[in-house]
Amino acid sequence: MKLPSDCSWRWTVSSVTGPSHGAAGTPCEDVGGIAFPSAAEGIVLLALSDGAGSAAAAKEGAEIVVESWFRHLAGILSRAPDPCTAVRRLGLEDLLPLLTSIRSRTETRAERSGRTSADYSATLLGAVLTPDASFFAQVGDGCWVVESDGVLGCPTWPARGEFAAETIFANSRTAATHLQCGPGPARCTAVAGFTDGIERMALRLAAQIPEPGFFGPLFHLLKQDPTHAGEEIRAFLDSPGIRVLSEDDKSLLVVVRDETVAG
Amino acid sequence: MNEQIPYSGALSSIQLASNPEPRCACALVLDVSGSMEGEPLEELQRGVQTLLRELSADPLASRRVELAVVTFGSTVKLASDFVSPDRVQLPPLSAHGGTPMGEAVVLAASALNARRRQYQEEGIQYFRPWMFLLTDGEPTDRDTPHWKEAVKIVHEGEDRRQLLFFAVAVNEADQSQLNRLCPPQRPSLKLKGLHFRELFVWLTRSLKMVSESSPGQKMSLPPTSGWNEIAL
Repeated sequence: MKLPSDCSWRWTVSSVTGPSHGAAGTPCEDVGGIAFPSAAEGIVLLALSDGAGSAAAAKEGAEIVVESWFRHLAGILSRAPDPCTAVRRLGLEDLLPLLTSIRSRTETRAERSGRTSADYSATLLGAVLTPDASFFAQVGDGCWVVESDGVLGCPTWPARGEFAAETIFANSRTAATHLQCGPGPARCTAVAGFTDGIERMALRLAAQIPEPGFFGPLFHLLKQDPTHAGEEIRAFLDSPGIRVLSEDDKSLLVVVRDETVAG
Repeated sequence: MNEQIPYSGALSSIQLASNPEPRCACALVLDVSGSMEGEPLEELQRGVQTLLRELSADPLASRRVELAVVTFGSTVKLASDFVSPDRVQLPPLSAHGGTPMGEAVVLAASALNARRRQYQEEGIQYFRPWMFLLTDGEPTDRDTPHWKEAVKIVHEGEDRRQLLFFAVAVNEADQSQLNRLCPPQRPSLKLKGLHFRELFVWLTRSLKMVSESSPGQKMSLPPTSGWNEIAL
């Protein structure tokens, strides 16, 4: 397979504080980001984490999760003779040390601050994109949505317990048994990751499929107007019509393949 | 917040997925035994009306909370099955007879279970259900299988995190009996005088909080000091 060496990505991460958090003076407890590992050209790492509403140090927990994802994946890629091949071969066993590291980092932090590990509870949404492969991972709720060949799909799905508003966290003892991970489409043209505050408007929950009417305009915007896309997405997420639908923090990470670059 | 200018930016063509709201079922179990006659019953009914009005006015709670009412006195009956707060039509209550509390809890639990099955069949997400008991007396069915079953339902439901049970004692209610029914971690509360309105305002706030809750959120309910005789 031909490997386009000049594949590049346009991206934006937007977070807004939920109305209930805003009223209580709680900051947005979602953390998201994107990283380009220096050792691997054309590869992009994505991560998003939703700190549990109840956890005292939720934001710190989410920061630990996101940073750990970047650090762990960058490590794997830097050790691989061919990083793109390494991404194609990624699997569950590669991520188990990541969960162990997240747990031990939160335990250490908790001990130092006189808190418990549960105070740092946060979900994990992680992804790696290369020009010709993709890999997605998730612990807890939120979701990944991928566009490839004009078709939308969900490589992961929000995990929850019997009751609404209960989920699994990346630093919990049982995180490994709840880890969803696996390869996505070879050639992703667009990817979105989002926290649970957005699930109900972006996914058809009963059919377990993404809502095309939600992602179509979103991906189109970033392809057409990357400079203002972030600002627009934030304005949209903070608009009265959306705020009334969910009291929660909302974060949306969007990445599109830059079609103007030969790839 | 609805008065603000609607969004009309570059993403105005977005279509949102249409999913049913997650529901929070709450069964009110109300004592209408003979001793509630007069002012207590009037205050209780006014309190329930406050609850319905306040929940109906809240944009999220009105879509998510569903209430049923079980009354117990000369008979035990499901006076109103689960509907959204604006659709509850509670018939005027009258106070007669004894205090078959155990039987009332069993009936409320069975209504909650039926509702839960319905949510499951329809693929609707739901919050942990609530049962909220108000009484001014002591159970008159303590020597029947109903009472034993009621205690088992509450204790097991709480242990398995399948139910949230609250009991409120009015006037001279026997709290020691009531506390045998209550989960050990949440003994009964005593209503200050006939402050039903304050009690139902608290319940409204609590149900609103549940309907807004985020993942893994622990229940930290508003203070009960407005209506509870002994502050917790």
